[in-house]
Amino acid sequence: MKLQLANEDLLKFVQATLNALSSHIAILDHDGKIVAVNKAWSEFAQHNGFTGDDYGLGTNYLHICQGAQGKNSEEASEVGTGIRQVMQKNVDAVELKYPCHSPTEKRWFTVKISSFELNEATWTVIAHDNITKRELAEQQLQASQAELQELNANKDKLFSIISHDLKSPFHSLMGFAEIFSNDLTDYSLEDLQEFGTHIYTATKNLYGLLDNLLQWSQIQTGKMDYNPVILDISTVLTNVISLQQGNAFQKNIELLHELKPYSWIQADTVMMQLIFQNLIANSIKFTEPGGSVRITSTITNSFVELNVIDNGIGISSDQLGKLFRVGKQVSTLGTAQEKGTGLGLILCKELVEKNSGQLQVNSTLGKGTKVQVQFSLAEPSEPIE
Amino acid sequence: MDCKKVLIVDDEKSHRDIVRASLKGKNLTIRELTSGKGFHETIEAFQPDLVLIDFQMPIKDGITLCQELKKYDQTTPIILLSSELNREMEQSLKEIGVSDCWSKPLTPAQLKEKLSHWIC
Repeated sequence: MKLQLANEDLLKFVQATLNALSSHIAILDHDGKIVAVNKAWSEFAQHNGFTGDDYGLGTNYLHICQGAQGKNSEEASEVGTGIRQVMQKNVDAVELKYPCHSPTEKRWFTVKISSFELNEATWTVIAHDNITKRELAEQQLQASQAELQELNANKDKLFSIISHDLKSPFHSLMGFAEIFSNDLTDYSLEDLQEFGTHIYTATKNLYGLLDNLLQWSQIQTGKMDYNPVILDISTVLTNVISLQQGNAFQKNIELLHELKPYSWIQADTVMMQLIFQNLIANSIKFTEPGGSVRITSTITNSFVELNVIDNGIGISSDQLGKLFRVGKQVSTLGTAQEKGTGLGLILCKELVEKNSGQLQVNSTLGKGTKVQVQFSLAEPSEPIE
Repeated sequence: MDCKKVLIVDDEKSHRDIVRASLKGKNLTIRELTSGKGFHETIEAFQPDLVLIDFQMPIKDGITLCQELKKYDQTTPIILLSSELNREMEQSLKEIGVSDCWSKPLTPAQLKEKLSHWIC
């Protein structure tokens, strides 16, 4: 059915149609002056503190865009260029996306600029659309895509560790077990003792790796128990240090501590033990016999800073950059050829962060390494005498 | 084939010991290196008939050592051992002149069998 309307009704019809649209629409004349706006445009102007008369009617929109200063002026200038291009018929239409955040919410818009000819004049249509919902959904999609990629990289790393580090001890285990199951008369007692040591070392490494892998996967899947309590970290550390003394002694490394007593923090005890066991064992591993490992603590206003400092072989700046990137870090043999998993430090960092702390590594190749762990101080659960 | 001298390059003592145990009873001279350090000097002085190199080693890996050796010695057979071998890797290793690639873990019996093709 073809619509037949008188001029006055036609105007009403057009205005009502424009008002029904959710886009904020304004029509510009050949100079860029606003000659008509729809309801959505007026309402948006009103909500956003537009003080001029008639919600911008009569204002030169092109001048506003080209002369904009401050926030969003770059986008406004782009819109201005777009309007000019459409007016001059260089292009049929222009579409731009831009942020327009209010003090209370983040918002994104698109603006479509097109034109039509009427009465030998060119009229430009500006239509702004709020695309915040779409934009937020897109951002969420990108974030979950990045998360998936990260998870996938973690999985790849896991497989690569399994393929190499888990297989490698089996080379010793299977090899020497086979020797023991055959005729031993070819070998001296010293040979056999040596083979036994290899089996023991391979089993110990394998267990250490499995343990680390399991802990890591528990953290990844959120299955690790987390029971934060108010604890004195100096007591936890003193216990861990005494457990590591044997390791240090065996390698002729001095293990010292200068810890401030009564350093109360809110954290999970088991996780704290795991973190410092790993860090101290690492320092011992990468320090030459005769060297030292010091564990110190300092208290500032609201933080306790715990340091594990060694004068060992240090880490190159290249390796330092890869330390915490799952899939990028490399396992390095210790000064006594001790094997690592390449996961230990990542594990520590994740555990520290789980307990709202921060972990930082500073190192100079050939000079030593300092691992700094920081936690917020907490009020002691029981008064100190 | 009259092969008498074997050079083993592997950072893990246990892995070198397995190879040594597999070669027990054969009249061979075996020399061991724990890394690529002194590799070229050892090749020059020892003149091995067979070189066994581990793929994954710190500082210089097995491939780098093979490539370096091939620059001045095209005849000495090189065998590369790795726990991460795949067909693609094997192909590219053969292209740089590696005589054979063996996948770890290998028991002494398996090693003995494989080595018998190279050492009389």
